[in-house]
Amino acid sequence: MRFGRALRSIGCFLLFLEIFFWVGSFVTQTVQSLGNSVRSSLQSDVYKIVCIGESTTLLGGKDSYPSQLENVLNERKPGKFQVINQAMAGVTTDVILNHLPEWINTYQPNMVVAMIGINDPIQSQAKTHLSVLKKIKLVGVARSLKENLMAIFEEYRVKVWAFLKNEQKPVAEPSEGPVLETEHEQFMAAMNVAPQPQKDTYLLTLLAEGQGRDDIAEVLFEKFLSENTNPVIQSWVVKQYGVLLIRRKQYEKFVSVMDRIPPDSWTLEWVKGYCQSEQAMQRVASVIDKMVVKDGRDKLIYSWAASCFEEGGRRDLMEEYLKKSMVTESSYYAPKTRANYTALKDLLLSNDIQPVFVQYPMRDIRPLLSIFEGMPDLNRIIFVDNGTSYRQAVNEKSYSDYFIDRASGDHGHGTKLGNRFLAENVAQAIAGVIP
Amino acid sequence: MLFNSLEFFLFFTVVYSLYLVFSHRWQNRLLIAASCLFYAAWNWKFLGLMFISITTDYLCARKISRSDDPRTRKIFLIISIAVNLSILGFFKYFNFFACSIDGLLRDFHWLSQGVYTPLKIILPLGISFYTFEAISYVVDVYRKAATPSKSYWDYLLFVIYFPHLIAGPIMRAKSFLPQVTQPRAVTLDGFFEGSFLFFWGVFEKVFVADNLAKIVNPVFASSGAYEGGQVLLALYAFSFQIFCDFDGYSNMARGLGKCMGFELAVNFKLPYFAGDPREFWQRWHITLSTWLRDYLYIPLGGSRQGKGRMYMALIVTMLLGGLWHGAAWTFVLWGLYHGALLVGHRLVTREHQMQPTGLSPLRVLKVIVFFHLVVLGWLLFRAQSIPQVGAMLKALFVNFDLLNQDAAAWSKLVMFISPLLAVQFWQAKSGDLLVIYRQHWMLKKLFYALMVYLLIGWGVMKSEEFIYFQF
Repeated sequence: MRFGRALRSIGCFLLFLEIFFWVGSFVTQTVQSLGNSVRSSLQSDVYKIVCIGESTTLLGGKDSYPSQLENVLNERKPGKFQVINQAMAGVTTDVILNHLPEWINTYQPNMVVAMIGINDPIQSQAKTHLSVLKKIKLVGVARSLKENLMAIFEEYRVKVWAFLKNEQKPVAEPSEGPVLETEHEQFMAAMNVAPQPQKDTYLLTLLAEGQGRDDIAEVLFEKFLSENTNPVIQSWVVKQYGVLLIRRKQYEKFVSVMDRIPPDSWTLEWVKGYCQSEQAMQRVASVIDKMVVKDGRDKLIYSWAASCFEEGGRRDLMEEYLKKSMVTESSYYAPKTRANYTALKDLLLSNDIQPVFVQYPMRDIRPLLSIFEGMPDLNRIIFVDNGTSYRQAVNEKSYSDYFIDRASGDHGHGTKLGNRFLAENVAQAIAGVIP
Repeated sequence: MLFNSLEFFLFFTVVYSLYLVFSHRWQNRLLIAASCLFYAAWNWKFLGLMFISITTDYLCARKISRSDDPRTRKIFLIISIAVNLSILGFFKYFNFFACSIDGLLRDFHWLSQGVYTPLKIILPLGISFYTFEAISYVVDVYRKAATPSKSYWDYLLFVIYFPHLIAGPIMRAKSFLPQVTQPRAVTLDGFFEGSFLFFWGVFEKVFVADNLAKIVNPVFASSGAYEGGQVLLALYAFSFQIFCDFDGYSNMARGLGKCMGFELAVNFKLPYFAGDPREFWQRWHITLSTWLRDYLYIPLGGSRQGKGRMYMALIVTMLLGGLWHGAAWTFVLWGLYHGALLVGHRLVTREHQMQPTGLSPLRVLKVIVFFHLVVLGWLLFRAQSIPQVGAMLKALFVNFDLLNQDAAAWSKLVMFISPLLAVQFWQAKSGDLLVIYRQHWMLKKLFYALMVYLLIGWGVMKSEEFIYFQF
């Protein structure tokens, strides 16, 4: 009896909540369209840009990225630009494509800036009955909330872990000497204070390599690495050694040597080395897990690994890693999304509208580029890369300066600053084609 | 730990789960440990300070109750109050007074330059609250209005019980100590009611207060020329921000208490529906104003020793009440302002005059007028400095640009306070603060769904600290 009542209560609550989301969505859409049509009808000889996308484009009002884009562009040429925000919250690219002809008709834009795809299904083999679930707004909301919670938990885990290991916070402390920027500078500084015999050994390796005596250099490297324990030096020298080993096709040794240092983005470049080795390929899985780099490219490693395995003749591993890369969000575009992107490009180009395709903040541009690989009109598209610039910016300040949540996992809805940053990136990318 | 944070959610889940299975004695021990942990999460070093204060008061109260000699009793009363006020005075007001004196000496050219550099004194969390609660305990024991606690642990829990430790309500020994010493009934209904209160408190804090803060803060942070409408908007927003912040916190505290079988006092009874200053202070921060009345106003003479004495007592009480809120002259001015309003009201109202009630037009007018007087008072409370007060007042009355208002900002204000006002009007009409809780289950689900929707859509993720936190 009580259980039934509780179920009834919860069901009623969820139903009302879903209704509120639909109503809210409808109201925002209507208000926005009204606003857009009013503004659009007023101007005539301005350069019109329509921004399409989802909630990350839509939200913010004055602080949304399309509004800020208009500000940025008009700063240079007042009154010359109009940016219309025709984004829709929570929709897939199917919906956006369906509306596009109507928007082209209404606004007659010169340019369309598209940041789309985040809500599209990830699995390429999405079962049809699941598509009903996707229609329910609460499911999307729940997913967003889950991402936010996971991010909060991850933050705590990192904090607790750091506390337990008594790690120093990676904050730039005011230091006595000059600030050591690059890894090379750090390495040089560390070498300067290393014991003289070690310095000599290192110099000899350089000399041997220079003379083409890789066999001697290999021995010297081994000696050096067994004597020196400074992690900064190790990290640098091991990589040099690794390069040499690849050159000498000593792949097994390469693997064991590389295991000495924590894997980083540099190591990613050398996945091929691992894949060339029959033995190493067995261990690639564990190595790849270790190679998860927190710069957004981690998911890309899977597809790289897949191509490597293909080269090495291991089709079974290739299939496995290809599947892994497909199910991760940031590296792969589902076939439906790819098709919609292509259709979008064709529609825009055939209407003489400049397409501008924007990759989501924090994400690599390459998966987006790969959609259009080999197409003849690839050079007519402007792409906006938000990977490195955002990652750098977030590193310098903090994630929460740029985003208010983690609705999409590696990024979320932007703060005023975050949206301005995005607007500036777009403005920079289109600078060459706008009046 | 803020109540609306993940850490607190985890903390409370663990504590509450244990609480439900423990016996009364172990519940108390659990709560003591949990409260210490709760306070230590902010700063474990100041836990010691709190213990000094608590232990002193406990011992003094015992001495007072065990002695019949009026002198002994008075001495221990004075010791206890002195210890409490010294701690409060040093940590909260030392810098303020020293800087003020320093400045004064400079102004009078008795010093060529300031000799005082402010010490880096941290303000211990909740000090104003637990100090006042402790004073009320000792004074009540002295007045024989309450029986002192027989157990140190019971008294300890009475003070540090974590839902009310940081920002009240300030509980009296008479009503709260028995709840500590006697077993409490934890019922399903209590849990649901407590959860409702907590949820509503979270809504007030996260949806209303934190969003309004985003409107208020930029205005008060800027030092440039103010425009009247902008100032008015910020003041309206702040009036509701501070109310929701504090009422929200109080509701969360009450809700948590209810879940555990405690009845914490109601701190706010629709204060902005008051028609005059006297009524306002019966509805705003009730536990503080009754504290001021019982331990400051009445000892100063109250209303029983002639009009002159009464006015003086009112002014002094409100001045000190203002000072309690913060160590700055703006708070003192705010207290003085309310003192003046109270005195003014007494002067204007005839004794036993019939007050208009209900929805009569006269009462509605009174409420609107008085609300604006309170809003004006909040300018004094929120301003960063006295020059800013002057500048904003000037803008409000002289530089009002009616046509150039920021429609977006005003509509944001309306959007954020509409749900709150709707609920408050409903509460006022029914005369029941828990009116929504008593509605039909489907209506309640609709209410919850709407609140949750608003929270998801507009709830500020990283919330501002409670305004009253640093008290």
